[in-house]
Order: sequence, then C-alpha cells, then structure tokens
Amino acid sequence: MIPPAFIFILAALPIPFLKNRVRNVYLLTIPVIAFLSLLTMKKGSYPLASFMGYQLTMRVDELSMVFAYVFVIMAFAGVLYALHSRNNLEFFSAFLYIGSSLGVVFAGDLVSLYIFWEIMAVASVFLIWLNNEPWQERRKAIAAGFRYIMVHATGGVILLGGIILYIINTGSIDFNQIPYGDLASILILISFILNAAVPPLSAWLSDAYPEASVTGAVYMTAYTTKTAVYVLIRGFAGVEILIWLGAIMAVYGVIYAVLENDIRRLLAYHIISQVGYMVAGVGIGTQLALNGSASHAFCHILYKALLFMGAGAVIHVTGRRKLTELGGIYRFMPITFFLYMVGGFSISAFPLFSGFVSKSMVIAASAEAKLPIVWLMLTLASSGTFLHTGLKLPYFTFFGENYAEKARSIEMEIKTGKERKNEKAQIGQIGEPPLNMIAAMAFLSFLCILLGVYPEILYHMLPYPVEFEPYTGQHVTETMQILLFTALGFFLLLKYVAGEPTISLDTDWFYRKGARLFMRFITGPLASAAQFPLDVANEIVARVKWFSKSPVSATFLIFATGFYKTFGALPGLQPEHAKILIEEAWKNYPGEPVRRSPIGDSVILVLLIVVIYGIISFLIP
Amino acid sequence: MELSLAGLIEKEENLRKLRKLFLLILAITVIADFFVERHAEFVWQQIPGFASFYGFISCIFIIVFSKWIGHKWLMKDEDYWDHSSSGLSLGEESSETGETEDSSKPASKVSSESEAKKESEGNSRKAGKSGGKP
Repeated sequence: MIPPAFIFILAALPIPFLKNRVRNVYLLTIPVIAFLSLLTMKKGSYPLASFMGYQLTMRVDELSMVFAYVFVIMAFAGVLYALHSRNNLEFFSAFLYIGSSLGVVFAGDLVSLYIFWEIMAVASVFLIWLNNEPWQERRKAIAAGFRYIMVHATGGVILLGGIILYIINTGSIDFNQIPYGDLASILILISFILNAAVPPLSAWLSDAYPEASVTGAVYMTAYTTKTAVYVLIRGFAGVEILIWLGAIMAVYGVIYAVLENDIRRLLAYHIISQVGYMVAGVGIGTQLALNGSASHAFCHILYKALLFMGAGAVIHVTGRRKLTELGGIYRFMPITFFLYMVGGFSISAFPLFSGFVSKSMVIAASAEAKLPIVWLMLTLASSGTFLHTGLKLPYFTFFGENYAEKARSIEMEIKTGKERKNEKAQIGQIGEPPLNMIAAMAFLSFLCILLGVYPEILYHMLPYPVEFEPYTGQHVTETMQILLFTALGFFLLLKYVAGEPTISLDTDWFYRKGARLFMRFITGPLASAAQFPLDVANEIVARVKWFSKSPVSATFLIFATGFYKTFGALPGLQPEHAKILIEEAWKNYPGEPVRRSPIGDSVILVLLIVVIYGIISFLIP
Repeated sequence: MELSLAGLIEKEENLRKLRKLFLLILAITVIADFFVERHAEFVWQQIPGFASFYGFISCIFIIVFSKWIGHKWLMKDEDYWDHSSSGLSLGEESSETGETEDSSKPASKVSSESEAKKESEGNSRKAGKSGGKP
C-alpha cells in the first residue's frame, strides 16, 4: 500500500514536462487513483521508516479518513478548475501541497507530522508567488507571499520547539491527545492555532490568499486551515480555551468581512469565521462537538472552494476584484451566479444545503454543553455569514445599483482593453468562464446539495457514532428565521453595506510596521554603532601611518610640542624662535623620505627607552 | 437563460412581486415557529419567533458595529501600505533602496565627523602653537 501522501508527491514530479491533453488527463487521473487507494485502505498503524531510533508511522482511522476523503475530492475539483491554466509549476506545487497535507492527516507521530507540515508551508507559498495573471500586481503577490512564508516559518519553529520538548518530557513521539498545560503543549498549540488562523494569529490568511492566482487560491482555502483543525481535534480536544477562541474567531471574521472591498479577501475572512465553529467544537470536546468539527471541515472545504471558484471566475473574466468596481455582471455570467449562490446558501447553512447539516451540529453541541454565550456568538456569526457571502458579495458583484449601466461599462472596458492588447487568451472574454471552471463549480455544487439532502453519507464517515438529526422542525424554523431576517436587515440597510474603496488594518499591522521599525533600527542606530569601532580603528591606523613615516622626527616633534605647550618655551631657545621652529617642523614633516638624523638623536632615544624600561622594571617587581 | 433572468429581475413589477413573496415567506417562517415541537436548552429557545428577532438584530449589530469601528479606526486608504512600506517585503524595492541610502548616510556622516574631528584637532594643535606666541 502506498501512502496517499506519496501518490501526490511522486505524481508531482513529471508534471512540469507534460503538455496539453496528456497533462490534463494525467492531472485528473491522479486524484482518482488516490481516491481509489483511500477506499482500499484498512484502519491501523503502519510503520514507514525509522528516524534517530524512533519509528515513524502512518495511522489510518476514522478521523484521518474523513479529512483524507475530502482532501482528495478537493484535489480533483481544484485541478479541474485550473485545467485551462498553462502554469505547470502551479500544478506542481499544488500537488506537493495536497500530498503533504495528506501526509499530515495520516501522520501517526510528531516527527513526520512536522516534516509534512513544513513541506505544506513551502509548497503553498508558490501558489502565491506563481500568480502571473494580468490583473495582479506582481510585487504585491511577492510581498504577500514573503509575509506568508515568514509567518509560517515562525510557526514551524515554534512547533519544532514544542515537539522536541514533548519528546524529551514523555520519551514518545506518538501523536495522540497532548495533555494541555506544560510548555511543550502550549508551544504545539500555538503553532496549530496559527495555522488554523485563530486571531490574533490570523492576519496571514486574509493577507495572502487574495493575492494568489484564481486557481491557486482555491487549493489554499482547503488545506492549511483544515489540517490545523484536524491536528487540533487529534491533539487538543476538550481544551477549554479553544471554545472561546473559536467563538471570538467566528465573530471576528464576520466583523472584518463587512469592511472588505476585495471579493476574495471578504471570503477569506469568512474562512476565519467558519474555522471558528470548528475550533469551538474542538474546545467543547464532546462526541457531538468533535463530529461537528470534522463534518463542518468536510462541508466547508467543498463550499468554500466553490465560493472562491465563483469569485475567481468573476476575476478571471472581468479582471476586477473589488466590489466597488463590479456590478451587473449576472447579465453575462448567469451560470456562475447560480453556482456561486449554491455555495453561498451552503455556507449560510440553509436547510437542504451542506452547511446546515454540519454547522447545526456544532451549535447544538454548544447548547448541549450549556454554553449560552457561545451559542449566541455562533448564531450571530451565522447571521453575518449569510449577510456577506450570501447577500452582500453576490448582490454587489452580480447586481448592485444601476446594474444595467455598470454591466455595459464593464463589457465595454473589457472589449476595448482586449482590442488594445490584441490578446486571444481566455482572459477578457465576455461571458461565462472556461468550461472546466464551470464543470468544477457544478461538481462541488452537486456535492454541497447532495450532503445537504442526504447527510447520512457524511455521518457514516465521522469518528463517533452520530445520533443527531439535523432536520427537526425547530432547527429548520430557527435557521430560516435567522437567515431571512438577516436578509430583511440587509435590504433595509442596503445603502450602508456597499463596499468602500478602503483596506482594513489587521494584526499584520504589528509585523508589517514592526518590520519597518526593525529595519529603521538596523539602518539607523545599529549601523552607526557598527560603524563606530571601524572609525576608531581607522583613526588608529591613520595615526600609526603618520607616525611611521618618520618615527624619530615624529617623536621629537610630539615631545617638543608638548613641552612647548606646557612650559611656553623650549630649553635654550627664545620663545618666538621655538614657536617658529616647531611650526616649521610640523610643516615639513615628514620631510625627506630618508632623513639622516644625527647620531645624538638616536642616542637620546635609546637613553629614553632605557630610562622608561628601568622605571617600569623598578616599579613592577 | 440570460434574457429570462434579466427579464425576471429588471422589471419593476416583478421586483414588487418578489418583495411581496419575500415578506410572505418571512411571515410563514415566523408563524411556523409557533407550531414546531421544541426542546429548549436555553430560556430563549422556548419563545416562538425569538430567532427572527435575534437574526434581525445580529444583522443590524454587525453592520453598524463594524462600520463604526471601521470608520473610527480600521479602514485606511487603499495605498496605505504603499506609503508606509516596510523594508521586509521583497516587492517594495523602491523604498528599500531609499532605506539603504538612508543607511549609508549616517555612516558617511560619522566618518566625515571623525575627519572633521581630526582636522579640528590639527587646527587646535596649530592654534596652540600660534597661541603660544606671547
């Protein structure tokens, strides 16, 4: 049996050399093969390799299988969506990224977990750096990717520190529930919640994802945060602080989404919000809550990718990414609009869509655990989710005020821009995006509705037995009321919710400004301080050089000048003569390159040295 | 497809119908809430129609609160980071070179200062000699 992680990682290697149809068939076949191999895998623990006397293992159980299935399904959808792309390197890094995240969910020990964790960070940053689409400012993508990799490198170092401490403390590298409390567990938890984008460690997500290419961002939404949710379920189930972090996270993402103008950044804030439900579920830690977290991760990957695909299709066609610049485009992208709305209804947890069957589990778990404030926060966040992804974003993207005019102006601009560039490329074509994009969105829409209508498929996969019925009268009416009255509020406040051409400060302010301050410190005070010893050394060198030009006369000159300054005269000379003499001497120094000095001078020097030597040897016994 | 959707939404009378339909569905969900079987974990889950109230105020609260905090504090011009670009990011080369220029300045300042010191010392020596003239 080949571990699924290696299927993707090995399959990535030939991708850069393949072309056209062969490449496309190859790319679509690999996820299918991986899916089939998942179906044949048996539960248990398999030894992989040995490392420094420890046994690295691969663990297969219900929890890892839930995540593995959705990762592989997502790989298929993501590849299908990107199939028109000529950017082979992007597929290459996407496969490495997918493979390493599968490695994380099957890692039975902390060492292999760490290795795959780091490959994931490095592979994913290339999805940002390789964004060469015409609407993207290149330097912004490079800068955002750089910040992304810096944050994840920091997280990786923290994780490594935690793992090493943990191994020293316990003597075991097995990755199971980690007792929370000591330094090792806290370090590991910090690095996990950094990847789960828990505020205040969340800014990397909303900073970097929208700068990735249309196709690259789709992969990114699925893997990094969800592997973090997986490791949290595995390692920190029932840690109370996660309940509150999760609840705050759910609301935090929603609050920021109001302010966002960039459509994919708005969706990125909703990733943070949705992962909040999963983190809260992990913190509650009951069987119902953990089932809720795992199933919500499953559904979330599918509908969030669908939403990013929809937004990406809009960007791909129009080259615009801001709400204030979009509007009215349902006129030429009706299919995209409908498929996007399936994602919008799924994330908002409308009955019959996938979000409903998983999100209600987490909320029910918070009720069962008697956490009224958490229940209220999570419910508020679901109202906000529908408000933005289900109403605000589609309304201002596809309709908006004066939508007919706006659509016409966008159409005109794209057409004229196309003529100017004289490009035959897919970009700039008025109408629906390429067929493969539509197919990928339709595939995910189908899955979203399937899971919503027939949740048993999902419930059978979950790690604990499910005794939860989502479709009770109370659940349905409660949800429908919350969502529909949110819609009422939205239409009443329509004037105030429109996007504004601004950006919002997030916690990345600290490191972006902090880095600037740090660079100031380096180029300012630190550089000066480093310069100081150099200056001193230079000065010494200069003086020695001056002295060595003619040591004898220099010595006399210094002594004579010192004597003259202290006593105002030189022995045996008139003061004015002495002054003239010294001035002349300074002017003439070093004089002739080789100066014949009188023997007397040398004798006096020797005498001087002897006297000094005598004094020193007398004083120091 | 395109025509039918445009025809459906862009006509004024259809919009009015849609609005009526929406309000009707709102009413139905609230009324339905009175008839469902409920088991409440919290006090408010026993009140029929509470969810509509909570959904509505959630929506208002989220919009008002975030717009308030955004305008007060968080929202900045789109070129905010371009103005105050940091030296850390690779892309912002212009600012980086600017900063390295800055960095060369203090260094050169220091060295020129030391030279000036040397000169002034030399001067003082000379001055000392000349000052010695009674």
